[in-house]
Amino acid sequence: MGLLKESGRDFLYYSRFILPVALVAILGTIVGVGWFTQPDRFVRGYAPVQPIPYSHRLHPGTLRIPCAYCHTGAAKSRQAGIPTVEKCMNCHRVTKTDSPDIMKLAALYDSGEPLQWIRIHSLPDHVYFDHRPHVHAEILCQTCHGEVQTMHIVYQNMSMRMSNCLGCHRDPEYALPADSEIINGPEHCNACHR
Amino acid sequence: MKEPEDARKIKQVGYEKDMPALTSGHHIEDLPAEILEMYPDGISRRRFLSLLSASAALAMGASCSQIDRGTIVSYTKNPGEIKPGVAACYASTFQEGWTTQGVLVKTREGRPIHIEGNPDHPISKGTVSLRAMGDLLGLYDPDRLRAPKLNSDASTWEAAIAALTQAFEKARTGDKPFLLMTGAMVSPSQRSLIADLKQAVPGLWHVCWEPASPLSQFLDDPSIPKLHSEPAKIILSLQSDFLGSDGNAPSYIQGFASSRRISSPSDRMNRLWVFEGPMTLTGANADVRIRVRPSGIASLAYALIRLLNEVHGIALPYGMDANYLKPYMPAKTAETLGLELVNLELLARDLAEARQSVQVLAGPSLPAEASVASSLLKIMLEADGDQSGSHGSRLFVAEAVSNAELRNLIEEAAGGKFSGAIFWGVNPAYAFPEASLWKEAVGNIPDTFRIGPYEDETATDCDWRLPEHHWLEAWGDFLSTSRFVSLRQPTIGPLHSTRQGEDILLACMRDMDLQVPGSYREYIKTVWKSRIYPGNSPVRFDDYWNAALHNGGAESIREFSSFLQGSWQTAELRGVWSSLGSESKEDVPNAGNEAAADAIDGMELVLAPQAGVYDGRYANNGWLNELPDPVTRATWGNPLSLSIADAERLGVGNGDVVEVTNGETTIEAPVLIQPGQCPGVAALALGYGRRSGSVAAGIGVNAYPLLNNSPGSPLLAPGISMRRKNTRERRPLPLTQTHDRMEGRDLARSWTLNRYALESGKEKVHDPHHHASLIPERKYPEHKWSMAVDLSACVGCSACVIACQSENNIPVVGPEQVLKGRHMHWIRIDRYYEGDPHDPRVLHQPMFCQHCDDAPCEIVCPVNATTHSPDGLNQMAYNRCVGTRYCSNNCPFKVRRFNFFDYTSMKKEPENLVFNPEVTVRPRGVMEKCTLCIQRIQNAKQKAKVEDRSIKDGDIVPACAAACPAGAIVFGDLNDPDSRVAKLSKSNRAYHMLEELGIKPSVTYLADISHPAIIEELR
Repeated sequence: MGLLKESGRDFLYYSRFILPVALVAILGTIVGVGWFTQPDRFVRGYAPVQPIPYSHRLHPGTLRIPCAYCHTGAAKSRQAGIPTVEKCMNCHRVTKTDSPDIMKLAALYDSGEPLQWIRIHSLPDHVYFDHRPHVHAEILCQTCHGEVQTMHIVYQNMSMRMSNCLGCHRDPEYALPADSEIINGPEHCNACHR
Repeated sequence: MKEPEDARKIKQVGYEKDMPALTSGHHIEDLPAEILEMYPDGISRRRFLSLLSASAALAMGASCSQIDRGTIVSYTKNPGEIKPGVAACYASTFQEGWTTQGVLVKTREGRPIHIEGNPDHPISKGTVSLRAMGDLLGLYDPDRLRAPKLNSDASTWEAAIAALTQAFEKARTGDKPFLLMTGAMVSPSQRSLIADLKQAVPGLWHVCWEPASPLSQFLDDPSIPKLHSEPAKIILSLQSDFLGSDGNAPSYIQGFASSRRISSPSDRMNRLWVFEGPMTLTGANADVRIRVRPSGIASLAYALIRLLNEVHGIALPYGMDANYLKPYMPAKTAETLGLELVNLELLARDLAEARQSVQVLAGPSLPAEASVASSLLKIMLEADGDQSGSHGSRLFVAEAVSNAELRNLIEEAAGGKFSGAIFWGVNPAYAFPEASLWKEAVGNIPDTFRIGPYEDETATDCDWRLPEHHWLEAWGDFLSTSRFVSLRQPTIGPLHSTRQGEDILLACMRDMDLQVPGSYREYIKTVWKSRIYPGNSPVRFDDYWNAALHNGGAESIREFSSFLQGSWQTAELRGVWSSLGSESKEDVPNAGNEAAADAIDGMELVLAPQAGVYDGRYANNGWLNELPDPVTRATWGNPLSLSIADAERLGVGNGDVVEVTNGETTIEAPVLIQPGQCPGVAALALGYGRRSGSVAAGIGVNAYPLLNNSPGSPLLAPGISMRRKNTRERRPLPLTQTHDRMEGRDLARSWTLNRYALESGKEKVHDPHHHASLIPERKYPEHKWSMAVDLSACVGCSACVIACQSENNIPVVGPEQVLKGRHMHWIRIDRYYEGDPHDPRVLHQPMFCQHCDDAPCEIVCPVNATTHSPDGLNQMAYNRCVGTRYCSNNCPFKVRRFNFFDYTSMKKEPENLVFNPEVTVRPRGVMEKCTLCIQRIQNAKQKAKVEDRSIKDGDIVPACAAACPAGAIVFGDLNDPDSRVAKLSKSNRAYHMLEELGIKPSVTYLADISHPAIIEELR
């Protein structure tokens, strides 16, 4: 206290000004560092340009092609999967063959070169999300992936943090059909982590 | 564009003039030309710093906005069977030496990740050797040779095929023969291919050599399991390690264990008698194990024959003269061999009573006279009345050479007999005992070719090194019996520019203008079409072929007995037996001289392939190197097992190096004191001491130079001497278990059959959850996963350890870390010696996370990384773990494993392809342990959910349970009263580990039941 007196300023000054400012600064740093160092995969609205400008607004939207027509794994596998180029060509052998992008697609199909889609949704390696039970519970794809059928370019709709998972597992009513018997999803570690 | 001269001019005016010392390393002209252009007067320090900070800020900004989550590559064309995220299994065949096993190869997105037994295979019946599972790692071995080489220079396949064709042409026209040396050959198509080649190149000499599993005249076929068809009541092993290193061990274990899993004392149970010198896994599981030197086994068998004849009135084998047995007085033999007569009498009684269901198994390391004697014993017991004719089943391969024949061949080669040679599937530069003779031989063969997966010892001695497919990339067919042909199909495309050995030969044959199919696959199909497929079948051949591929093989319409299997005739045996002479051999007394000595002479050394690396072919495999030996618990090497008495005489302890001399050859090996080993007998495993391979080189000692080259079994070297090394060198042994006793605790519970009768008559022996506890009782509303381990069925073979390693991405840590006790296996086999250390009873107990209801690890974790799941599992969240290791310290079973290093980051391409994508790869600083294969539980759960049903018993099979040939491990739901595990947990043999601690383990153990022959007092 002697030091404080000698400096010509009293304790009140420190407690009213310096202390709150210091606290705010420390908190700000923590939040700031936390915000800027969080993994990329949480970024919502991420909408990369894909090698083929496939439009979900057109295919599942206007043309009403069901999601599982292309993402065949959703009900059978952990991964929903990306359709083979062959599947695109099933229609595009005859449809819009004059479009430069479809010509590009046809060239890839003929050469067998891999079509590298830019990944949008990603989970960390220690998370084992399984599409099967969610599809089986009749949770709509849109619950997590957003209104894909309206997206011209697909973007990430949900951060897919653990809180997103647990929030729904604890209170899934909004995601489930009205007559569903499910009360909640599992919350123990092993349900997702192995 | 900027001229370099201008840059030099700038140098003149820049700061370099002022600070010549600083510029010695970094030249200003290293900067991009555009920047230099912007600053014609040079860059001042201030400007340099401002540039630096600006670029740093830009880089930061750029890295913040750049999101890179990688790409997703879709298949271009529909791959048919491959569904991303779903495993597909393919039936294939694993072949090793003379044995074959049907396997299921589990693949994910087209790459094999796990191997299990094929339950539909009629011979191996779902059993699989631990080496088959472990050799999955060999597929992804970064050391594999990736393209053909000519004398350490890269070459092409075209050049290699041309050179080999030329060598064949030379042999065709010249007068010198061409040597084709292969490993065991039990494939109809391979043999047919070589026969075709022989027609084109008449000078082709084909020999098969298996250094670690020699065939001998009266040895039973090692590939055929005999304990299956009619479970034996009495099994007599004369130094046969049929549960360990001899032949098709997993099948034998299955047959053996089938009558050990008893549920009441009145159940039929077999009794295993073992006479052996070293301590083997079979001896460890014996009901009565009697230590005897290998040289004494012949007289022991004769004494038994005499007892059976004189006391039990069983007729002597055809043509045998009773006078011959005169020297083998049972009492005298027992005395010389240092064993109790009552044991021989009991055994004779057992054999006489069980007659029709007796199995006499003779080991490959028996001296010649002992294997003849055991055959006589077999005939005597097997045949009723008619004792002529054929007996037993033996493997007969015309091309197979014994070690002595091979030595002659190599000598001839050294004399310049051959114009060229192919070494395919054998590694004589490593396994041939005389290195100098081999060098001379290979030097005197003009064209030498090595077909094999590695650039190994033989490859470096050869001109051409031709990389071969791994068996998971290859086609093949193999005879499992003379009737059943197993098929091998590739489960992955070739990873490197390798070819199948048969395809190399086919390519040469095409170049020699022979009419052959385009690929070995087509070749197999033509062989199958003509020889195996029933021509009059209404099923089209293509359908038949596809069904055979799917099932893993097919029954042939024709028997392949002519070249593979046969039986021996009594007359044959008689001939050999009479040639041995009728003079009785002086037995070597069992009890040796007790006095301390610098050297011991006249020891008998028993050699056997090692449990993991076998004859050395898997020596570059980390999994199999780190697998603890089922008996010694030694990893990464082959210590020399000595009896306690001999070690005391030599004054050596574990790790002390001794010199072992057989004739001219001396090798040095560290000692391991083996309780239960017969004094005067030493044991050493083959397969170590390789000189090539980044994992294999320099591990252990090469025991091949000690192979016996005088008549008799190569695997038994009589008359070796042993002395402690003068320098008193010690090599610490990486053992995973250093304390061998239970110290009076009831850990691995073992009862005799009589004690079991007594205990099962009592009320429930224990009430599992009767301890008072402060922790509220847990409720398991849906499932309660649990496991039961039957110690009576478990033989300790360690197949579960490798299966777990493969399934759960368990890292290999290396010998230095094992020495520090940091091995990572989630399942370990505890091996205990009970009783007299000179002749102990051995117990095996698989030990893994017990998933305690009130787990001590859970309550001490400061970050809640290990918690209890509502279905009874003790779960680990790796991402929460901060590595305090409190849990491990508080675990009474010591089953938690800590990642001291980032073991997986040291993996080289393509080794990382072996990982199971369903299990997290753990980083450094994280604790891990058995999860009861949570990935398989979850998968079965989701599958059941999709199919709208509840989980059935048997839906979930953890990797260890699937791999266990004995069926000792059972997994299931305790909440389901009809499940197997619920029934077993109520068995009158059931108990839990360390129950007095009140931690309520979920895993149930079933007491081991032994069936000794003596009417023993109740303890």
